[in-house]
Amino acid sequence: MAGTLLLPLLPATVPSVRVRGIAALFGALQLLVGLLCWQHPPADLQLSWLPKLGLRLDLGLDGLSLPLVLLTALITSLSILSAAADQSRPRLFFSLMLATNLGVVTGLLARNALLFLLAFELVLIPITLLVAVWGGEKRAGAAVRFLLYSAVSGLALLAAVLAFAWFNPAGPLFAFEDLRQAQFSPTAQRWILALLLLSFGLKLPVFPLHGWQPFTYGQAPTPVVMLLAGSVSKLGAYGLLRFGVGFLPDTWAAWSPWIAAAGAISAVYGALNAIVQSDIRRLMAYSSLGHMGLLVLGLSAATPLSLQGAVAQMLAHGIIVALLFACVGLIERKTGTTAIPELSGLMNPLRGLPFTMGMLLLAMMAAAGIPGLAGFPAELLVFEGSWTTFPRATLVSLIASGFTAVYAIRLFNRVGFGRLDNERADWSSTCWSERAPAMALTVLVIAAGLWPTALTGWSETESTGLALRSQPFLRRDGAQPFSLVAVTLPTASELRTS
Amino acid sequence: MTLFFAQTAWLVPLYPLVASLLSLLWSPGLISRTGPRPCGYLNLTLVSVAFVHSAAALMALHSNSAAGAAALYKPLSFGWTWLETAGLKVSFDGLITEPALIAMTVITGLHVLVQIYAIGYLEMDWGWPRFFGSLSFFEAGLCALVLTDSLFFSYVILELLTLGTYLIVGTWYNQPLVVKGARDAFLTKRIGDLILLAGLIALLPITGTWNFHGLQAWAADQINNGNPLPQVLPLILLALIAGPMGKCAQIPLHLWLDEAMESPLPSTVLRNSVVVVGGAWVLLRLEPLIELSPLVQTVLVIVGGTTALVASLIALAQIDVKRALSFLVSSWLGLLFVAVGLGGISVADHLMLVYPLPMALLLMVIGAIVITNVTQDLTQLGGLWSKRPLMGLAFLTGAAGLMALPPFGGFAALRELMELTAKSSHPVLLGCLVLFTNALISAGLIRVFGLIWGGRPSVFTTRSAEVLWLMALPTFVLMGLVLHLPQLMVINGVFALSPLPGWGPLAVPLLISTLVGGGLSAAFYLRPHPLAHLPAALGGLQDWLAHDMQTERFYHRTVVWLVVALARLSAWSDDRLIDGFSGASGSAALEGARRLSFTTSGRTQAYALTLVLGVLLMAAWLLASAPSVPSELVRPFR
Repeated sequence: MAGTLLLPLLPATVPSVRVRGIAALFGALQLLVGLLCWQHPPADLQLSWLPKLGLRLDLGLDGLSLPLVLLTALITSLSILSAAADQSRPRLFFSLMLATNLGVVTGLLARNALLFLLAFELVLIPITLLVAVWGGEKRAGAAVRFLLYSAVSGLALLAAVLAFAWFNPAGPLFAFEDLRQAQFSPTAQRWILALLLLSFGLKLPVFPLHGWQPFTYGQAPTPVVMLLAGSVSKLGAYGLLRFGVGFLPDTWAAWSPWIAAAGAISAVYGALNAIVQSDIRRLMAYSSLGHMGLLVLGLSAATPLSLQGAVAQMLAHGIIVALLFACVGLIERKTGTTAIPELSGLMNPLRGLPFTMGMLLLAMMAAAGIPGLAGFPAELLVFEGSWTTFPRATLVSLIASGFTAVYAIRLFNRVGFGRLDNERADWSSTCWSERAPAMALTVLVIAAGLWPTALTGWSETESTGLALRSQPFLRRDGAQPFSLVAVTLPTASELRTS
Repeated sequence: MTLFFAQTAWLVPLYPLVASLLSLLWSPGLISRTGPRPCGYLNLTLVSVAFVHSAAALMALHSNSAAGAAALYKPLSFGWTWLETAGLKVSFDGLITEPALIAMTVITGLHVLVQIYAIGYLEMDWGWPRFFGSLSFFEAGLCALVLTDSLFFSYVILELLTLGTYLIVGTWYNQPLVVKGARDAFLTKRIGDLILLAGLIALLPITGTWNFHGLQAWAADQINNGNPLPQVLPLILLALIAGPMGKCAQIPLHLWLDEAMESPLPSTVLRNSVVVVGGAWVLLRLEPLIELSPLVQTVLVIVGGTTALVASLIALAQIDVKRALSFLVSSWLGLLFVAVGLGGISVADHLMLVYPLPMALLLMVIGAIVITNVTQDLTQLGGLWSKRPLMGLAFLTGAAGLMALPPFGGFAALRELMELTAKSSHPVLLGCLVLFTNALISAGLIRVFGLIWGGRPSVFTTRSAEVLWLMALPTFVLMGLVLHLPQLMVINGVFALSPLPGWGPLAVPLLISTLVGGGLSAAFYLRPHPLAHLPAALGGLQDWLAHDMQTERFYHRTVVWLVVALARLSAWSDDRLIDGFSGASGSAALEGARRLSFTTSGRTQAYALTLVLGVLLMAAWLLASAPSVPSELVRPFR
């Protein structure tokens, strides 16, 4: 917040590089504070704001919000760093980026539905402006589309939050604690959940509410897409988990087959659409849609394992998609295009962009769920967690995961492999400062794949508490069946024959 | 002291892994400073370390077992928890067993030879770091695969090897055929891997474990207690064998191996000899589960049998020498699938044991021929016996190792397979299948030999030079190993020596099939012979086989077509419905705003009028809709 207010006040003579540095510093500071909060959990902050409305500044951290706050802080800093060094109108640009960050973080920290709503709406404005001012050729249409969809999403959330107050027999209360204990009638639950699904479904997005996404991702400037896809869309997932699963468990359980179906369809639909795209940005927008589908599948099954998978998927997708767009941003900056037919042979060690392509390949493989990278543990948990509840939807999502490989390979074969176009290949190679954000994300993607506790360790208590269904085959006590200790080891002579 | 090597055998996969990670350092910047070579030498060094370590570990295990220390002979286990959350614990449980050490020694040994070979083969290439890094990555993956006791991590490794295949086939990525081969290899194997993943996910709720020994115990438990098996179990098992089917290039997932021949030859040597066997290794570990379902066993026999017969026929029709050998890989592994399907675990084990070295030798020889004669087209080669006799001998040694020709290794294993089929429910059918396949494999190998070494020199072969010693040395070392393989087997008690290694019942018909197949082929191809034109007379059939039964076209017209059609359909719907809707709403809003903008004229009177009108309208609405005040609420004013 301080950053948002401070940046516009900087004198106009400050070069944009320095503005970028200062903005990134705020992001880093936030990350640092977040990490400190992880080590020393702070007490909840409660300030009365408009007591008559029940609006209080309730901020708090738990296992669900902390990892997402860290993710947001990280992606904000990295996306700011991946902006061009000569960013036009830097003060406004970076201050809007930080404003977006402010909205998302407040939303995640909010312990009060009304405050969450305010934060949710706050995100809308800076992103619309960022797209409208700094976007691509068709930025006006993209911005309006984003604005319209987000406005509907915001209105639906407003209605849902008001309905929370309206239908609550205990009176108009907004604090999460009160909402969790509130006894809503089945009709009320249905209305509220429908509104919530509309609102958060638009935010994520989920099929068929994704109309804004390819357009916005295609037109918005790279740092904005990194932030939007990596972090802002997670607000929708967080909302579904917090409000849907958390406050309306009965209706959620009753509707979950439909929600799972929407998730599975999103997964297949996004992947299929990604196969035929001819622009890298649009391809990634649809890929993102597919991955959000997996997330929704995990949420709908609502077993401890699948919820863990959903949280892991939020984090994993956050860093993977940020990395993807960071690479795309580099490609676009150097070659001037993201059209797949115009690019080829970028793997070329001397005149291509081998380093960027290496990272892009890694990110695509992570998105395709290749083991050893961040996407795999998340997908595994979602699949394993949802299998017992929704075997068909899980199977469909597995097929979608196969399609993921198809577009990943198609993209890489066209863009990375093949012959370099000698006429056009006179690009400058990327320098270290340009690569740095993507490299940091690459390290994270690999680290999370090798040590997935980084994705799942935060939210274990919360997601077990929120789970609506159990998985009887998993025992929580010591987990004996999975270790070798329980198995009598055969002798070597027996092994020799087997 | 020596036992220390066995206890630390889990380090073996780490050496090549480190090598492949270090290869990443040779980004273009460093290459331009040092050239690509140091990276190759680094990889070779670390791979050699891995070989020495695994060989030492194997010897340690042997010497300790010979001393009779039963406690030491127990498999050593190690574990690493990868993920533990919400009651699910996934850990890399490893067992250092004798089979694993043997396999690691073979894998690392072959890698050392192949990396030396590759230094010669890729003399002038700039892509060393990528290529050697990928080779080492493969070695790391395979060594980890033989060490792990977890089906889950076997899947993980198979999937990583799939990615490795993509990268290594794509080494020479600016050629269209290479790009296509890399794509097909990745996607075909990914299909198998994904089905395997689906099976894994479905298996866990039933068995509660992913560890092979746990699964074995579970299967034994089911049989001993006579528990009714879950109805979905056969389906799950079918899903589980899809992974090995893809890896072992069995029909219908065989397409990739042939296309992967576009990769540099040294990687082909490894892929066709040890990497494909990785799939078979997983299949063997799954055998206790497979025994539970007769349906799955039948499927294995059918898939394996069909592949064995058909692939060896296809191999006969190939004119690309590398492809001719690659189909023989599918064929041989098909026999292994038959053995597993018939429950002959030790037979399958022996088939797996005798296979890698001869196949690697054959491909090394072929590489030496291809690189000096500039062509891999069999019809352009010939007459090399007078110029390159040693390579010819090496080829014959490798061929003898794969066809049933005593005293070489393949004979003993194939004879055991014959014995196994004799005990099965269809002894005649399956016995004939093995005999035919063996005859066809022999014919295919002798055909390649005849077309390269027999006949008269062609334009390509008249000036055939000897290869670099870097390629010749590993080839002849391997030839020596292949020649000693039967002896090694006999010493270790794998095969009996009576009077030849592995001689026993049904040996004669098997030998006859080899002689008939090889003999006929020799008659056709060793010298220009009038009968040599006979296959051409087959016309369409030969053409059909030469094009791999049009499998690629078949896939194009079915699977690929379906996916593309679905993708186009969803793109259309997105374009028309979703995008149309949001686009229409967006443009409607923009258009509305534009129209509205015309209403601003800038005249103050107009604004004032609007305001007044608005206020009046609002007042009128309020007055009209104001409810009549209930009389009891109107209190008299005091």
